[in-house]
Amino acid sequence: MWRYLAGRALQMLLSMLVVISIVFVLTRLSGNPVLLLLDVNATERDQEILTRHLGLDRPLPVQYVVYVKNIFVGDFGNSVLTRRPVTEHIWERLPATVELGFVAMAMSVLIGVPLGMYSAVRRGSVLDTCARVFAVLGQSMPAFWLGLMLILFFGVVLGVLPAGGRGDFRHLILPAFTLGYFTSAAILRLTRSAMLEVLGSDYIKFARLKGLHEQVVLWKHGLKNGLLPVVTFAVLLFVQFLGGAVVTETVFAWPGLGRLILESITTRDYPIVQAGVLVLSALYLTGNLLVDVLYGYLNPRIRHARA
Amino acid sequence: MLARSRDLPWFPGAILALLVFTALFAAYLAPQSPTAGDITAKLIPPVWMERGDWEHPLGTDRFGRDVLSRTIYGSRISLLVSLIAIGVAGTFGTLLGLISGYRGGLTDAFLMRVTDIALSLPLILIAVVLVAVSEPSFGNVILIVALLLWPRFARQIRGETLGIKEQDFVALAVVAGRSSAWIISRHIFPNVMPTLLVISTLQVGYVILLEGTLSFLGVGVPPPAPAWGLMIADGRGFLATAWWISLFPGLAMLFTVLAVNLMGDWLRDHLDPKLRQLGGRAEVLELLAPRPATPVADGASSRDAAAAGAASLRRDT
Amino acid sequence: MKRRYWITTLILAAMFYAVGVGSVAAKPEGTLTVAVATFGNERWLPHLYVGAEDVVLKPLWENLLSRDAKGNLIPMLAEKWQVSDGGKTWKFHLRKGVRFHNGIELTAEDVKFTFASIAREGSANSMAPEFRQIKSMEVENPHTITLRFDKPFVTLGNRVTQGLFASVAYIQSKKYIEAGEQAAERQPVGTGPWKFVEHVRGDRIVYEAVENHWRAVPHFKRLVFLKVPEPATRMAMLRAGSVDVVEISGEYVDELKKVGIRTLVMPNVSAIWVILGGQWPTKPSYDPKVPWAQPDAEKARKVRLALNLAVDKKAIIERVLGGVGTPVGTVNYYPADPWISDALLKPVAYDPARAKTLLAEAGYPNGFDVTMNLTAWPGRGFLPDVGEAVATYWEKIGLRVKRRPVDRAIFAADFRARSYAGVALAYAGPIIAPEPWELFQRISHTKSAVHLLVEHPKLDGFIERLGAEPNLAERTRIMREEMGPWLYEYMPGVAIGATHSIAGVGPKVGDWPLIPGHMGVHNWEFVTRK
Repeated sequence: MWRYLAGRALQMLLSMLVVISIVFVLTRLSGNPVLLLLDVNATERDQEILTRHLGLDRPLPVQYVVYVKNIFVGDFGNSVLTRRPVTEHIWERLPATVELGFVAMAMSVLIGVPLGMYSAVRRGSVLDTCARVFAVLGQSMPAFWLGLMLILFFGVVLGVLPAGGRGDFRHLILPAFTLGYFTSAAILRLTRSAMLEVLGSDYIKFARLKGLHEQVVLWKHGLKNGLLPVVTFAVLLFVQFLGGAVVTETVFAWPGLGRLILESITTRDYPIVQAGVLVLSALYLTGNLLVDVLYGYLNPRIRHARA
Repeated sequence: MLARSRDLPWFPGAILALLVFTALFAAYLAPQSPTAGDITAKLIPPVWMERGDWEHPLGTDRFGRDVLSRTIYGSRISLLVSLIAIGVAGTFGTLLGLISGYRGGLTDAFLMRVTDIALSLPLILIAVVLVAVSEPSFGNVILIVALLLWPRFARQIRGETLGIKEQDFVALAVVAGRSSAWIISRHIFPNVMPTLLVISTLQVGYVILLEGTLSFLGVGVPPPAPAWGLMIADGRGFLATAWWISLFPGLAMLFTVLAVNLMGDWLRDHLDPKLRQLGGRAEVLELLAPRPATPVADGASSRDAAAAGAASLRRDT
Repeated sequence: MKRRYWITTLILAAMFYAVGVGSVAAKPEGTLTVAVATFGNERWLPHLYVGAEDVVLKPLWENLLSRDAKGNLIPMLAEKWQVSDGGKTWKFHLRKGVRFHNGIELTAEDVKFTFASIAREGSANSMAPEFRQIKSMEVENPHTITLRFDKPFVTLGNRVTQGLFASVAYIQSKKYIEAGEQAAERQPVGTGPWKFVEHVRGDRIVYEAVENHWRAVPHFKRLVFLKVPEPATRMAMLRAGSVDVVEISGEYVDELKKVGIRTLVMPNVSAIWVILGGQWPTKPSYDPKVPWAQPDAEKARKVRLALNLAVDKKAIIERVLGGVGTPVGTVNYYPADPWISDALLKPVAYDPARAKTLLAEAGYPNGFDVTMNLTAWPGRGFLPDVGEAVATYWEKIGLRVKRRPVDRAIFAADFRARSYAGVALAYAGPIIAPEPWELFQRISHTKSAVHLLVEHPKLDGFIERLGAEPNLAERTRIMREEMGPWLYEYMPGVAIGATHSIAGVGPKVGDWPLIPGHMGVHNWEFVTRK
């Protein structure tokens, strides 16, 4: 187990290095932040001064080596635009990002699991179809559009929810739903098929034979056994939401990490883009590792296969 | 086994047929040019409203371009982007998946790490950087979408290949001295075809949405091309005065994606023999079935499908 | 909904009436919440902010001078000022008794410190190049400072004034910043009518009214800025009552009207023209094949005139910009300027037939190929729309126009490298300086770093003469009678007009006096409650 983990960690480190290199090269190709920072009346000399000040005058390979070296001591450099340490910027945005990601995941599960269960139990019925169409509908419009419609309906027409920004929990509802609704279709599918399999098993047949109440059979025995794929999926989902919410964050004026990176791209704030992307891929890879470990641990059949 | 006609996906089938028809004959169906506009004729409402006229049945946009014609031509762009991008990503991903799954060992480990890296990148953001490096273009959109999609194909196909590889007929072919290329193309590929078809179909909807997301971020198909996503994004600030700019392409997109997804679901239920009796889904089997492989590879493959499934959510859309 | 507002308003009005009008203006009350597109780089030290974010910075600080309703320079922190030596020496006398929010009194040392910070090496402040021209600063006594220059700087007053876009030479406290930059960043202090309360980066900035401010006591108690990048969301928030003011660009004016939202118009704040790239004959990237910049001056002018005649400026202002603008015939001249004349104001007629004839005469009977860059500048999101509209008009006279959406960062390099010969793009110059030549000095002098109009010895001559002329009346005459007519005749670009900037305001907002030519919402301290 430990050898396996160490191996995976090493692989992750190598992956990160590749990610850093890709992003480093891409951002450098994308334009010069100095030209954006300077006013049109700035002279060549002003340009040189600023370039040197930001350390962008050194040859690219040198910049790269220095950058990678510094990362190992936890220094991601300073933002070109704000001149503040990049780590500060990222830490500031993480709470909002994690908050939104978590609630969105919860919402996705809360929509997907019950619908999936009932659509499995009532397979082929109108309810099954309705549930599935409802979920698929969430995957049929762009998030910015769904988000705007929600803002207009709940914020402007009904006036019951805030139209944007971050504040109390009510501010979370619309953006989290926008993110979570899209993925609830996948959760529904997963739950539905897992339940179908579990419900067909001898185990459930036995529980029914024992004369247990149908709801108990469903929720306690059925769900418990069908939950594993849903849980792993939800973890992966959460990791995805952390970096994948750029549009939702923009529409709902949510001060998250995705928006920080997006805005930094438009100003060519290389250090923030590099570090941001790095953090997001690290989170993703860690999430995956976690799922693998958990999975091997929790799934009796896999444990069996190993034994 | 033929499905009973009652079970055939009439609704999605009809919509998709309509879409293909529209895309093919856009030039004959559209009453006006999709790109030529006259700003003095801008924001004319649909025909049933006051000021509306038959020249522009669904009204005009902010540059006086005909919304109906743009929506009709938009089907072409949506279809082209999906077909080309999925074709490219599918070919590349499938090839990688087949090799990775069949060869196993170091090749597999290496290719799967590459796939991991590709999956771990927040690609929507990378897309913005990519476009910043060059400039928005149709080709760029295809490139971005293909970059986003190929790892999913690679993952799924590899998983399938691992299973098929263990079957007797493959072992026999090896004994008979057939080359790897021969075995892959004759034995393995035909067997992953159903899966390939299912994933491809399910990606179409995602790709169409992605075009919209990219347009929202200003890195999609460049104007004045009549792409649905671009039109929706274009009209989003004018919902009170000119809702028709984004509503009609929005509806077109909604129905198309809905149809494609329902079609994908149906295909999944009916194409995969393992699933037929379950009515279940590939990823669950992937998740639950023990793999005849080493524990380490097992850990990785068992969540492949879940990861690929989760990757399908890496939209932000 | 509407009816409820009415009733509330009536009740409130009745209450105020009962309480007595005198007590209304006395104490700041309530919160004014504003949604803006950007906070800039969210720094507070003079050498760290860029300046285009002046909307959110302006409440906290003050400048040496300001502008009155007619656009004349008036005292702010400086009570009076003298220009001597033909514009090489500027002496400012500071008002006594003005205090920073932490209680320290403002002195000439603070002015010197601020200007030096702006000019400092590596400064991000957009005014750095100009403040680097200062040769020396002498503090004669705590309330008098003299600035000296090598060359005349006849319009320095415009750089140290409050009432212009990106006029960010705000005077900050030397003592406070020197005591610790970290603390000064966390809790900035200024002399403005609003004091700093809170800053959550990327999310909000909160100010509170300074009661008993020396100049103006705000009507609202709190001023909250929210960063909301998406315009559709800003409008929805305003309609939902989550915010009271939104920054919005002209193309949305009808949208706001339709839902019954009041718009605040800041008139004539930005001049729009289409740059015809390549008019830089002395530069290495000059391409003699570009039709509008070819060596044959007469043919080139015919092409430029044709490109002007092909475009219906009035339609663009009305249709693309929602009517929030005025067509003008001369690039970077505004309708209310003292140096404008009827002739300069009159846009080139819309006459596509004549445009075609002229093109044929210039040797392009079948038109030519041209690239139209569609680049959005921050706060001027309508520019790609203008470019699109112009492209459509040009196509009608036979040009083949390729649209090229380019990110500003990519184009910034093109700008400096002058690698866009033969490319056209819509541009809007905000009034960073009221006198047109001040902008030309930056963007169309042979020696300037970029060329957004034309490079021409004649124009160089005007700029140099104006730059050395300390007398405003004489400068006005040169601009009106010599430079303007020359520009009109030469027609270096396609002048579209002067555009207004707008803001949407909610029901809480009462009167809002504005400074003309000031792009971006300002004068927060004068906004009354309703």
